[in-house]
Amino acid sequence: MTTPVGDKAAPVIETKGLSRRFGRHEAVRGLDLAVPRGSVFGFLGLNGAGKTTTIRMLLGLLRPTDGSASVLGMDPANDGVAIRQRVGYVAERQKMYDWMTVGETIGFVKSFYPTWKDALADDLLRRFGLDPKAKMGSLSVGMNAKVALLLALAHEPELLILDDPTSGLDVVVRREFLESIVQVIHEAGRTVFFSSHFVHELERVADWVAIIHEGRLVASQSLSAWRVRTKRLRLIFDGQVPAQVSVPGRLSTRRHEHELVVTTQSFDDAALQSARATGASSIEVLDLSLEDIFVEVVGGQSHASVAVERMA
Amino acid sequence: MRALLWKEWREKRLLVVLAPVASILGFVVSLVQSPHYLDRACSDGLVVASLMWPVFALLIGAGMMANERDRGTHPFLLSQPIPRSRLWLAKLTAQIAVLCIGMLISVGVCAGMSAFLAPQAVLMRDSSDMRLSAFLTVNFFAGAVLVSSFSARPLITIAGGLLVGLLMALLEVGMLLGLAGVLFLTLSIRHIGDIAVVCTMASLSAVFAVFALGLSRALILSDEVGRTNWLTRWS
Amino acid sequence: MKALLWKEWRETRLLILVAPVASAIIVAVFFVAHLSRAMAVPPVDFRLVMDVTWVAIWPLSAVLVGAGMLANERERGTHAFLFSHPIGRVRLWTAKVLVHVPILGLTMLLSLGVSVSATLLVSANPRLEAKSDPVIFAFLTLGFYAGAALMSSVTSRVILAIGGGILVGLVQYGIMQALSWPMAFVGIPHQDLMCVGVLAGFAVVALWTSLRVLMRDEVGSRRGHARPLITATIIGLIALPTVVLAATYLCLVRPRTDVLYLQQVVPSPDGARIALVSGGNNPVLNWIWLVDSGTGQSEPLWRGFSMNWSPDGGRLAFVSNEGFAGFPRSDGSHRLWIGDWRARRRQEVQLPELPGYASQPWGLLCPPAGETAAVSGLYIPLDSEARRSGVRHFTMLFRFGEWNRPLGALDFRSSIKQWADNGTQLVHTDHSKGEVLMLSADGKHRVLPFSPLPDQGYAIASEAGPMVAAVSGSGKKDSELRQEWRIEVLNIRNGLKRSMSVNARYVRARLSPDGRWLAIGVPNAVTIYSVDSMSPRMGPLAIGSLHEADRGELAGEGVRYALAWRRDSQYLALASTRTLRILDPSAGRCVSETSLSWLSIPQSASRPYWWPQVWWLSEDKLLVQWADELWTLRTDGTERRCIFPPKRQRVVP
Repeated sequence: MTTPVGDKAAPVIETKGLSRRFGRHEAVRGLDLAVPRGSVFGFLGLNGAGKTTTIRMLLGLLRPTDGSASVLGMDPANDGVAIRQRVGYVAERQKMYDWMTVGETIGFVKSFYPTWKDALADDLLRRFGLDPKAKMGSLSVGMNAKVALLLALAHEPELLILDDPTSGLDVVVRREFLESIVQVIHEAGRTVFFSSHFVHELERVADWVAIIHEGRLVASQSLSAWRVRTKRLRLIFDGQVPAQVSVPGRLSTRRHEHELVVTTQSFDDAALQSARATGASSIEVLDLSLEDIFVEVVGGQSHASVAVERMA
Repeated sequence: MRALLWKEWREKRLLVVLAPVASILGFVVSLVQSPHYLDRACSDGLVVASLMWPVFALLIGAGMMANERDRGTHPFLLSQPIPRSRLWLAKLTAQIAVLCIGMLISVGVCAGMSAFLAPQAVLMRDSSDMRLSAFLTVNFFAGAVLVSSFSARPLITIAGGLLVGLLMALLEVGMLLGLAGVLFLTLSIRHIGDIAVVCTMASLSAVFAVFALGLSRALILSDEVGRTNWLTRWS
Repeated sequence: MKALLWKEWRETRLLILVAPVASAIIVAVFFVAHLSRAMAVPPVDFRLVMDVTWVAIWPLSAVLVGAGMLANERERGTHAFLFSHPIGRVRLWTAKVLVHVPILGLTMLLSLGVSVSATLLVSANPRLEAKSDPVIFAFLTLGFYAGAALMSSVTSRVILAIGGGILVGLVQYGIMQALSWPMAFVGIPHQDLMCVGVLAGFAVVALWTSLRVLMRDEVGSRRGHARPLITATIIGLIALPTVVLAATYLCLVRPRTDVLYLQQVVPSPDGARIALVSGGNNPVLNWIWLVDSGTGQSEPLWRGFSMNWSPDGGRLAFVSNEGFAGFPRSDGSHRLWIGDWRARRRQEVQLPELPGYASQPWGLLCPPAGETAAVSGLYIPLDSEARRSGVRHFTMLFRFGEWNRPLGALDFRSSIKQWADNGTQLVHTDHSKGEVLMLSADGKHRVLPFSPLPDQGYAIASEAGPMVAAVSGSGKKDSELRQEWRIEVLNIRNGLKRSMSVNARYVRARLSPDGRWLAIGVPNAVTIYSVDSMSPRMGPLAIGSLHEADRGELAGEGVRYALAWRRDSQYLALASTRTLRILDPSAGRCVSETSLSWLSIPQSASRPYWWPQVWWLSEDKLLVQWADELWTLRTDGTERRCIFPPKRQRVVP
């Protein structure tokens, strides 16, 4: 279900069957991703779905137990250093050296990046309102995140990987974060790989969304495609609500006295036809926000796995 | 309280194994050094084994608060609805228990080994080394506990504990000297018996240790999450 | 890279102070403790302080530094931050090691400096020699650091890294100690070099393994640590010790055919062959050779020293500390062996309960005639009072071959022994009491009625006859370093004693085997006295002048010479570095005189100052030991032949 967008350039990130096991627990199973160049790629999943593990494998911090990955055309297992030089990475609640000041941290990190721009770093310092002489240990969570973002942006990376960077931040800081990211996006050729919990703010910036659940990729398509194809159908019946309803791509069904609310992830004319075929007196097609889509998709997955168990 | 003790035990149980193993290793090494005079090797070995205790007293004592701060679990711990004194007591109890169990195991195993290898060995023929190591153990432990109560870096805590413990030892020995001098001047007593020296040093060590532990308790009681006083900042 | 170095430096720099400050406080503690005479503390001297510092403070500092490899990053949570940057793992590891090792070196140097200056300040008479080797301990400290670095790469708790580092360091120290036993016999300085090599090897293995672990490390997973650790354990615990043992085996166990020097030469009773002990610095380097005095064929037989022929010449008795596979015995003790040289077989002798504790035979003395053998050795007394005096000597008499029943025993501090009266009496000198004792084959011993012997006195005996002589110097030396020597000769059968005195720098006395003649050698002159009358029979025969020093002698000591009586007491061979003379005291004349100047003086450093030795192999054949060479020649000086060492065999026409 992956369709390339924009030009036919090779994907910035591409994984084939990427898997990682920890003991007996399979954190990531057979992930096939293709992140188009220049996109803002949203990576959604519940806690423990495997997002951080995937990102670590992309950066070469973890080795996959199976499958392969390619980031910026390089293999993270072999060329981790080269990849990280061109990637800006902001981790969730990144802990840095408490005893260093902000300025010292910047000085420490910039030596690793050949493309570091001091002017940009100073600009970001000013914009984020950071005091270079403040000790890292004395910063609030928000300031800490800003420093992390500064470190990721100041070397003008081709690819920005963000692993839930805004968790624990207040609204104002989150806004600032997003604005800086948006600015990055507007520069040509940059790609953003964004994994977050804050679905509605991801919605504002992402143009491609992949949903991962229990280590498996559920679907990866453009946001517009998601919106177009995931709809909620409200079927109102005059008489009895039928017991069985077959709508392709059905994610969930809710029964009320006279109505059936069906959510489907492959809404097209055929689906509409089969909805009409149920004999409903009126059919309402409701658009879903990304958050709703996410909840439904993930919920549907759990239902699907439950159903699979029952059938087996 | 039990929960606190359980947590401390779970965190420290590896040390209960490490410390005796080090002692036993020290014992074995001195056996290897002179295998033909087994009984002397055994008593030397016991001395070497006992000299490991001060080192491990340092490591165990350092677990008072410094590694919690370093790890970042300090706020979590202090924010629990437990009186600070109980927290301190639980940690101290666990540490002392680990230390004592470790020492007992090491003494037991080494004594057992030497009884097996060289039954006629005169084990305690010269116990001054054991006394020295007990003396150092108490001081190092108290020093480490004290420094750990305000420090945030385990490595610095151990180093600081060593130095504080040594300073305490110096002060105690100095006080013994002073006492001897006073006795000489007032009562013209020249020679202080062995037992008197041991008792004096033991009580001095106990006094200093209690003082250090009390100071550590005060520090814990007044500890604040997120405070950066000069002590924590520097260490 | 510079940034990494800076970060490590900023984090670790405080640890530099640990060792110096601790050393200073230790000096202070020792000083104060000694002042108060408490805790039986010896006065502050450099040895004591440095021992404590090297053994305790340096390793502890090293372990604290080494724990900063990765465990503290993990515990603090900055592990992910550090790894997520484009820093090569090798670069990361290198930066840490490049900061840690100089810090270690600096802290060791500083603490050394502090200890030295503190000791100088505080102690009354400072002696700056140290007991243990600082270089070895420096490498051991490096090993502790490497162990802690290794543990720190593996674990995520600093305390465990420190504890584990201490354990790894102890294991290294233990293995080094275990290996030092075989290495000890290779000889210093090679032993020190090998110790350093072993420790360096350990450190390298541990550090390299920590690098490998670091390279395989993953954020969020602990997989992948196992293989490097297993490899390290195999190399460290198995491969390295095996290599060292193999190296020492190769160095040690091959028979040394390059002879360092001749420690003991004993011709067989029939003179047909010669047994000798070639020496090294250490008993385990002693080999017993058998040389055919006629053909010069020689071969090394067994490891051992202090050997003697059995009275029938069929067996050799000797002392050896050889244990398994040519290595010294693990308990370091020596044993008595009897070897059949024809069958090339030897057997250990089980001596009966020797006195005391940890006793071992050290010397063996068999008379050329007579059936008894004396075994002397060392032991530690059982009771603690006597133990304070230290190791003691014992001598036991056995009938040769009947080793389970000692005939008698003597116990004292020093021993010089001579046989008398056909090997039935053993004459001892006890310098601590100034007595001459005689141990008889019936087990009894008695003190001979000589005047008390000073330290430079000695007793000699006639092997076949009943004469014992005691030589004692007055100790008062004149301007030419001569003193008065008194010589008393006692007939142990009838108790008759005669005495005489000689004024000389030294006196070498030799009683003829039958006890009729006494040869007295002083610098550059030899006189033969008749024992009955104590009047000179021959001589003084000049050997050279005091000022001659062209044949390698020390000026003023005179010409070096050897005296040997023939077994039938008829002739005395006098071999100096210039001439060989055969003297006949009954006839009162010199029977033969030949020049020995054809014998070159070796310039070897192993024995820069040596005295020739001479033995009678048969009626007209002599064996001469000339530095480290053995020569046979006839009494008229013909048929000169160097028979040993094998490489230097030659005939001089």
